[in-house]
Amino acid sequence: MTQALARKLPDPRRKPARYLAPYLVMGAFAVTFIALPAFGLQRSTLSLLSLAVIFGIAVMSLDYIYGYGGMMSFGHAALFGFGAYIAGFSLQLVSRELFVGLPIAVASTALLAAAWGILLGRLEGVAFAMGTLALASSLRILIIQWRDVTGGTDGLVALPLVEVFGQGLKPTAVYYLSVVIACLTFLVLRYIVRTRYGLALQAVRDNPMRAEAAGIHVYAHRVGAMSISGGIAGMAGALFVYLQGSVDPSALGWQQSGHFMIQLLMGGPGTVVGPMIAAIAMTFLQHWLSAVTTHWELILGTAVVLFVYFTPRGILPGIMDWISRYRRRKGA
Amino acid sequence: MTSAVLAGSALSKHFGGVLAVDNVSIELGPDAPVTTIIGPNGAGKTTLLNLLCGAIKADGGSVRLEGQDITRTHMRQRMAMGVARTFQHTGIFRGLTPTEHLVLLANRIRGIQQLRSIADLLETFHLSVHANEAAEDLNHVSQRLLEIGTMVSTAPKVLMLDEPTAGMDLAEIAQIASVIRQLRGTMQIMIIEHDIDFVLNISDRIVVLDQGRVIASGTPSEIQRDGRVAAAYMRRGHP
Ligand SMILES: Nc1ncnc2c1ncn2[C@@H]1O[C@H](COP(=O)(O)OP(=O)(O)OP(=O)(O)O)[C@@H](O)[C@H]1O
Ligand SMILES: [Mg+2]
Repeated sequence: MTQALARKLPDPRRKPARYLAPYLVMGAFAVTFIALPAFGLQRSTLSLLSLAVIFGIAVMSLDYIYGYGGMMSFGHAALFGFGAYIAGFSLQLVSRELFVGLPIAVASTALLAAAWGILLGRLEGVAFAMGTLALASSLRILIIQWRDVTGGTDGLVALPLVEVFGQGLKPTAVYYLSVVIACLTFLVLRYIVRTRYGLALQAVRDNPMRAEAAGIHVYAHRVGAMSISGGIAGMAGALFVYLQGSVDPSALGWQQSGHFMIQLLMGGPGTVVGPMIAAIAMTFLQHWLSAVTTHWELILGTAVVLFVYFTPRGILPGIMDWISRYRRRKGA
Repeated sequence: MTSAVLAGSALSKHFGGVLAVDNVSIELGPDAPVTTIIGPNGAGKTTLLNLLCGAIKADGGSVRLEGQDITRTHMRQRMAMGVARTFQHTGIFRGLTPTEHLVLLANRIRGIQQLRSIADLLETFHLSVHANEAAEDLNHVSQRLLEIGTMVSTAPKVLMLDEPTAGMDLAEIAQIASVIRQLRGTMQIMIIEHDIDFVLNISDRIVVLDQGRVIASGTPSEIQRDGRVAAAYMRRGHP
């Protein structure tokens, strides 16, 4: 009986190879990035690596709402920057403890993002994207104008080190913290998208009208997804402040939002890890290219166009498709 | 009180000057487990389905589910109460696999029993071999079957299908018919259909709509003998 059943069962938990690929890539990332400091990196390289990983976390949060929720955001840097400012304020005013400041930043940004979701959750496609752009700009203007509190265009500077149980976190510690949080973010997001809650979000992405007909509350799922994504973006922003010791309004700018979106599209939305790797790679490329040539934006832009042309669904899915085609040809 | 599972009474709906549904009453009950709605293009069939499932608001009339008035509820609430539907144009979730479709919506079956029910459903809907492929990669029939299966996985009281065999060849239509025959009796089924052989073959009762009104209703053989039905189809030059 059980045997007959087992034979009949197309086990939903059996993962074809393409489900495994992101985990393999993430594993490779974790091993490499944990090992890297052992090679005696320069302080500036370590700091660039940390920054790249932190942007990677922010882009993963963007993948959750776009790759899985179909909501394109051109204002994600504002959530990232908001988290950074809140983390900065709590370093100054509340406590230097990581376990106090980080949750405050995450919760505040999740709330702000939920409010965005409440305002925009009934809009589709481009209208939603424009809405995020508008909300992000207003937030940036507010921060620039409210000089007494935010320091205006100078931002928050000379912030104290974040501490864990009274010990100040050195750059290496912030680096490891970022790598660990990147891995956790990946695992948590990949877990959520396999649950019924996450599947419902993907149904909303693919076909909001039919999802509604199937009994899924489209609006509520959008608000929920925005809030989860915002919480993660805010966490990345907090790490950014812990790394830099400062934050200014450029962290909230639409250029930064645009970078996040490009990194997402290049890496492959709906894989979580692809966009993270793309964010890391592009942060590095940008740094190196800008050191050798003033035309770095042109070069990077051309590369982006070529990649999007040849792998329209993103680099990681492109590679996965290529491998499975190759294997099928070999197998057949 | 009647024994009807879903009953619409005196339903009306107009769009601008068009009276799409004009004072239609219909009962879906165990006396006719499979009821089909036929009628020429523009007769108001889809509009009637939309009124019954709450996709649109009626201008007049009421809808009852097992005797309870649900006229003022909307589609999502009716879905939760057990009124499921498919659409004239296939609506699947592109990026999800058939298994994920069923996991997502099978809300009344859980645990190991859920795994088993999902396996059974995939089998019933001829989807076992495609269980872990993205729905967008399935062919038209499989997508249709998946759409119906997804609704069946919610264990509805009423299942309403809008032209389930549109665009299919004879073998594919037979496949849909056999699936519906397997479902017959486990839930109340209403089907909008143009393929007359399929209709005669599958129905316990046929309701004929023309210009928003019910012009005939009866068993397949009664409908076949009814002159008005043939006339309505002739006048519109329908297949
Ligand atoms: N949303 C709408 N807005 C305006 N008119 C509509 C709308 N929906 C339906 N109608 C009109 O109502 C009438 C009935 O349409 P309905 O779609 O219910 O017909 P149908 O019997 O399902 O036809 P078909 O066999 O072509 O699917 C038609 O004249 C149609 O043009
Ligand atoms: Mg119709």
